Amino acid sequence: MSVPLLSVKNLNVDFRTRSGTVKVLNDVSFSLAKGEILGIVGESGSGKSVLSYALMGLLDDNAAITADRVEFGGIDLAGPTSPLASIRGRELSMIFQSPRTALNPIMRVGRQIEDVLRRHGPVSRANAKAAAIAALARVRIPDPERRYAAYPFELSGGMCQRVMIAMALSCSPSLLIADEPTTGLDVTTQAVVMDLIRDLVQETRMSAILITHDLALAGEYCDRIVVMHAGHIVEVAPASELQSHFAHPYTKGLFAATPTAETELEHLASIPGSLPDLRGELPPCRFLYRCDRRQPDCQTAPIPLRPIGGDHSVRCRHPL
Amino acid sequence: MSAPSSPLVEIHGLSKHYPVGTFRRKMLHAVDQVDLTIAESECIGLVGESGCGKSTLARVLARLIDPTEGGIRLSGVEVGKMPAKAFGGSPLRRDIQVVFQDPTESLNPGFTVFQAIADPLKRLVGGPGREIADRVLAALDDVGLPREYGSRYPHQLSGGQKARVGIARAIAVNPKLLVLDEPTSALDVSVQSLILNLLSKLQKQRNMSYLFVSHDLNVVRLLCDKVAVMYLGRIVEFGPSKSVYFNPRHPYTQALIDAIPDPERKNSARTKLEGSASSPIDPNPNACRFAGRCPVELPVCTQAMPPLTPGGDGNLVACHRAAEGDPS
Repeated sequence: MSVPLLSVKNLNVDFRTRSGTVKVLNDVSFSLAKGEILGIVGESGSGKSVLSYALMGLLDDNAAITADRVEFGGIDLAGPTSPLASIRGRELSMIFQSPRTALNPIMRVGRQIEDVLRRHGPVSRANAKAAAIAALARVRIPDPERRYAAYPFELSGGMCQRVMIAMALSCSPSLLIADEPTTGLDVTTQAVVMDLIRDLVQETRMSAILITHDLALAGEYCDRIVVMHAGHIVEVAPASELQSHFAHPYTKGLFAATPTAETELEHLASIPGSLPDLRGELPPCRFLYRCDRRQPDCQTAPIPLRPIGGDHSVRCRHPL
Repeated sequence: MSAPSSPLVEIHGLSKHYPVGTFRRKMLHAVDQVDLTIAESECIGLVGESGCGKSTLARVLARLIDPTEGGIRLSGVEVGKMPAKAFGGSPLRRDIQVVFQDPTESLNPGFTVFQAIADPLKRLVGGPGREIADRVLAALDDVGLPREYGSRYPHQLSGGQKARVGIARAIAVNPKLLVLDEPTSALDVSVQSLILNLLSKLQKQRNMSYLFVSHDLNVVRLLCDKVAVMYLGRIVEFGPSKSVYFNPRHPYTQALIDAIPDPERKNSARTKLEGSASSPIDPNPNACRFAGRCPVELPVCTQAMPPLTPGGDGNLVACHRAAEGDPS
């Protein structure tokens, strides 16, 4: 494998709160190749959004972030001299869920794209406007000259998400992080937005991280999938491999709970229990109390994410 | 064969129009000429994109808002003409209850779980406090919430627990029809599966009818006997869930199904629905609402509105192409 675009090793994030330290991310390690779409899947509270915020350097001051290595395109982002502030938005950009709230409601969308362009280098007004219109055209917004002057409330949800994507891509980043980009959109709009993201990734050879709770969506659009549970990466595998040979009991539970064309209601299972409280002492396997395969040795030593053949890794002593 | 169960709800020619524009002279057709029958203990799904009028139809049917025209018969009694306020004070209010979309938004943050469930009981059923308390506890048992949760406030509950409170509040007064407006859209898959199974169990136990509103055909298919597909205020396809899902006749239904994420598809093509629906404001009465976005449009589609006609398998479909025996 060639040198990865992004390589993260042993990333930990703790939040200091009044009711104790919350260990939100623990020992998160993964890498992302150039041109790859990586899915990060898990229930709400699994830490997938915190992971993306940590990568973007957008977490609050009460977050304590430690990592052995966060390397992005040969640049060290973990050290004290991290140039994150200058590359964020240019090399590394992000789109958020609920595009309507992420956009400034009282600013024309074209101007919001210009803002990003002007933040990252001297560019004349006229050039910025031309670039903003080109960015809108690139995300296949019909009539971009007219939409340039639109306010977010004049656009539909799917259109707002396209504006977000246009903004994120305006400086041709090498990595796009999409945090639940289609939550709250209709299935039909979801399909159009996801097809657009995939096409743009292929056109520009950038990489993307898709954060979602929908395994089927990740399965369709991602090359590889990372499954997160309670701040741990529990399984990583190529999408098709995960589909057919999932090894972690949590991944199995997620698949069993996701309706497909073949499912009948009686067979739609759920995962017992809920996420553990991340304050205080946690067992080495954070899925322990929800797992039907647990053995006494699941509670003893730390369980590493270990390869089980090919590109497939799992954090479980007794995988399926 | 047993006699067909009598209809619980019959709606006929139901429309809801909102005046819009500077002089309020234009009309937004949120729901347009909808006929729908819900039998006793039948579960009907209502699917469509946002803005298609499915929530408006659910709210008119639940008599939270007044229809512009058309009739709603509930157990044979015409309630469509009754103003929403009067309906709220009538004994029929008990018979239709609603479970709202966002469990966080739809619970009063100042009410405990007990108070939230007791409130409709006090208003609609009445009786001594002891009886009401017993009914609240029974409702908690029915939705699988521990009784001690009665003293908790919404912020102390998880999303799934709040969804259960919303269901408990709605079923406590023993309604005949439960209108469910996207009850699982804010929940994780694992919790969604619990709630769907709970709803299915309750429906069988209590012989309730459901109107299940959702944009997710995959979920609707699991719970519902029949599905109505709505597009821009009109029902474009109606039929048994399996038939609509596996053998759709309307090109819009086909597009909805094709849009469901499918890991098997992986990069292969599908019917894509570009653009957005045309405006619901004063739509052309002599054209199919789907025209302009339809992948298999015919010249006739912009000249006449296709009526909802039988299309085999007990399905009804409003499409010129399907009527010619050439869906696809």
